[in-house]
Amino acid sequence: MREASRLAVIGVGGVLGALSRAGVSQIFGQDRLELGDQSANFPWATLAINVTGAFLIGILAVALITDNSSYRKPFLITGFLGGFTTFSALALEAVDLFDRGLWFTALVYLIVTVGAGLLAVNIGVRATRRVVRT
Amino acid sequence: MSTILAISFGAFIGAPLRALVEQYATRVRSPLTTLLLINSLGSLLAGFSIGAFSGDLRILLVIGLAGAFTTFSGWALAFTIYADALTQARLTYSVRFVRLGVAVIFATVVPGLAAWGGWLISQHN
Repeated sequence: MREASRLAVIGVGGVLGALSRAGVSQIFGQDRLELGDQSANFPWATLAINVTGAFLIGILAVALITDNSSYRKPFLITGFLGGFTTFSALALEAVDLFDRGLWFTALVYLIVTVGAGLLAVNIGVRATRRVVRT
Repeated sequence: MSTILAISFGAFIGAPLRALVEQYATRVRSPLTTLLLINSLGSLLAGFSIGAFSGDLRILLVIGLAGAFTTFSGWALAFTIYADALTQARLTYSVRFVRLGVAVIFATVVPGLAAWGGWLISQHN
């Protein structure tokens, strides 16, 4: 039963994360979900989502390191941030760019996402460690 | 409204499913390898679904289920922890560089190929 409620909490967090992701895509006007969509020459929405989510997971991983609540980490990290950020959209968009002959854009997209995402985690971790210590 | 329901339904299955796979797979594999498996399976599903389905079902499977099942933030955190562990193991710079490079290439290329493969399967009637 405890396991079931943990999964339910992750599910609710995931729903809120996924809806937020869809909202950001809509703001960027990149919510058409079609391959070969010419308006999506660079997937700014997914890039913004993934880098923001990476920054937030860096903060939360440090802030909640000693958190004993059985729901905060599953809800915020596994559920919300896990559902907000995505790898499948990144993979689909990169493949779509390659398929349209925009291989340079596809490579830049992958490199910028990974580079900025890892940098964002590090900034989040370091900034939060500094705040938590003082 | 139906879009919101479709995304919610998919994500309500996708996120807990990821937690379950993580829970069991990390007993035999590292978190980074587990997330490579998760992201590749989710990308395969997304590639197949975008080619095979339309309307709300496509939204449910691609944005909801595959979108919430896969994760970039979880991967980025797992990668950072892996990089820290390599640093603490006092490995030489070149060994760390190669191992991290291989991890990045696998993490991006395998899900990419999975998404492409899924799409190709969907087009094969």
